[in-house]
Amino acid sequence: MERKKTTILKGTGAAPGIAHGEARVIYSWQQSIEERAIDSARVPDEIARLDLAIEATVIELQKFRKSAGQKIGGPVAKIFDSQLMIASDVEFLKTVKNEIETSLKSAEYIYSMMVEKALMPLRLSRDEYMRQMVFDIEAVSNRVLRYLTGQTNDDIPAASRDCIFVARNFTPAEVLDLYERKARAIIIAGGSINSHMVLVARSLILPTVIGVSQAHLKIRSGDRLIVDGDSGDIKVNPTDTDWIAIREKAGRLRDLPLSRLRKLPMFPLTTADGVPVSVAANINLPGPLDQIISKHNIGVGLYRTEFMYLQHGGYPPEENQFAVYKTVADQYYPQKVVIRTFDLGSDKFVTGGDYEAENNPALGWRGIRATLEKPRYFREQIRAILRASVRKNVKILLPMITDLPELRRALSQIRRARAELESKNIPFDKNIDIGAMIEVPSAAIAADTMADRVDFFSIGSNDLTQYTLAADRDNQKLIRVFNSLHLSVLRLLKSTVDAAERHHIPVTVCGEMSGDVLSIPLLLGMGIRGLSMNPSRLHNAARIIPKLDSAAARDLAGEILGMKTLREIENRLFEFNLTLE
Amino acid sequence: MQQDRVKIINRLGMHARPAAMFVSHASKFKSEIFIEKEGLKVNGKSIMGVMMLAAEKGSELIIYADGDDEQEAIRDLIELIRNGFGDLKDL
Repeated sequence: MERKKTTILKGTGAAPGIAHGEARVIYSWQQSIEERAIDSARVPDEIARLDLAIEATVIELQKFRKSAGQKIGGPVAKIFDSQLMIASDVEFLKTVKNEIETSLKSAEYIYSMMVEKALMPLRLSRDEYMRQMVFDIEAVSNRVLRYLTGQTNDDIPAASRDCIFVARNFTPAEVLDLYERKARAIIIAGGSINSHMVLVARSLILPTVIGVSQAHLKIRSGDRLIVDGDSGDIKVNPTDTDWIAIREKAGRLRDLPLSRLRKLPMFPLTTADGVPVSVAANINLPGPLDQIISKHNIGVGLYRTEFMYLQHGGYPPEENQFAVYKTVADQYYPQKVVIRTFDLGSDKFVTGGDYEAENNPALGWRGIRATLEKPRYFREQIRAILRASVRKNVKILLPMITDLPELRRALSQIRRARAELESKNIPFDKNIDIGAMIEVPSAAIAADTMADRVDFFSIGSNDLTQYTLAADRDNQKLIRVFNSLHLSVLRLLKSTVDAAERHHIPVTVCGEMSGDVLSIPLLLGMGIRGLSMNPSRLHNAARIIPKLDSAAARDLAGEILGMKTLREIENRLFEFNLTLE
Repeated sequence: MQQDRVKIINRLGMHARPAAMFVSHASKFKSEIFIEKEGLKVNGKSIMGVMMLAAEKGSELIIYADGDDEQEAIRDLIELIRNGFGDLKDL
């Protein structure tokens, strides 16, 4: 048999891990429904078939919802509620049944036609939530049609396990379904990094690559694939040598993220000369990782709350937020959990809705400046966080602070929220720590004006680098420009740390550089004693920190800060790393 | 049968979330519930139907309720819409 040509496809890595396996490509249903005429005597049978298909779909969705609740947690499981509502739309079904009777065509044809009619106006909507609804309606109708037609050709074949699934898009329910079938990875042609589907895949630790143009057309079922959920690279039909090599590393690579976490030592970590360093995790949403991380006495240095806004389709009610924050605080107790207030913007999550499309979203209406324009929502989130702080292991973090006046407005709203709780005798940690994210250059430059107003700084090195170098970190063309080790970024870091030290407040770095083996000694040498990173990088910190001498790190930092080029800096850090490892 | 008029006040109109809230409320009542907008009438218990209305801010709806609990239904649903579906926190 002629060997197929090897090709490389590129997408965006959405959920980490490396996987290999056979592809299973899933096509949309619209193509396989034929317009079949029926006898008027057959109408009752067609209607009965439709009812059975709906019933089976509802039962299946209820199973998913329950399974999601167990595997991922209540808040994320709510994603399936809208699909259940759509599947249980009795009135819509009545119109379908009437149409079957009138036009004398098969149930699957009429059903798919009427669903498409209902979808047409919705597809044109600029509203992101409406578009999510379109996905949900398509997901439900695909399920119903699968039951109606009993087809298995382009189906997710029941027998297909251990495969890599490819489609134009997958819904959260389908991701859960694939996970239960032991899917090794997921590839989609479309998708957005902040969609529900990616959130679910990440929380299940299922390697996922999105935005692979025409993936479902370029990959054929049966193709061998090597998928990298970090880099977003896909090798289609690798050479036999590559295939054998990856198979040998297989189990290790797939389980690498999880097994690395499990093998972590107990924290806290200290340097070789006994200096304690606080190392914590960045968390996006509740998931199976929480249990593993908290077992190692690792806290959360950055708890991102945006997923709740996404799920809810707007600012969620206080009770919903409180339930989530309390769960997280209890899960990690006695470790500290730093909860960041909503950092939403038109690029991050939604176009349409509250956050309309902007020309320059990174420099737009986002972060604290946006939430301060909706003070009632801001105070609602603060109240929910405060209420969850009763066991005194919660901190508040304010995103994208630009300057002192803005910080003062935020602190004033927090005081109001505290008063609102006190007037009702609702308990909370009266001494709760409040910190500011230093990610806007203006804040780093004037950090000394704010260091006496907050209890800690948290440096968002990714965004700080982006703003300082005027380089979008997601722009492939700027890969060589965007670098957190640039001397200008390091100078801003240093001035932030100096301001913090003068006012005796701790500094944490919570961007990607905090988990980078080359950067960690430099950061510690600059006086930083707190690092918060993606869980998949915690093993780097655990490996480097115990080998590091803080005096040597200090000398290193002194050297680096005197250098003029990135190349010198990187070379020296590389050299230093060799002496450690 | 009871009916009443109400205007949509939400800045984003009756998008996915308020539509789901409306259907959720309406489905609790025994009465038949309908929404009319500019002559187009849809079943208030059908999420597909309510979404198709795509009622933007300022559009005027007529809510119909027909059944044993029609008075309670009208009151509940009109109030839901008048309160902006619980979203009335924009200052």
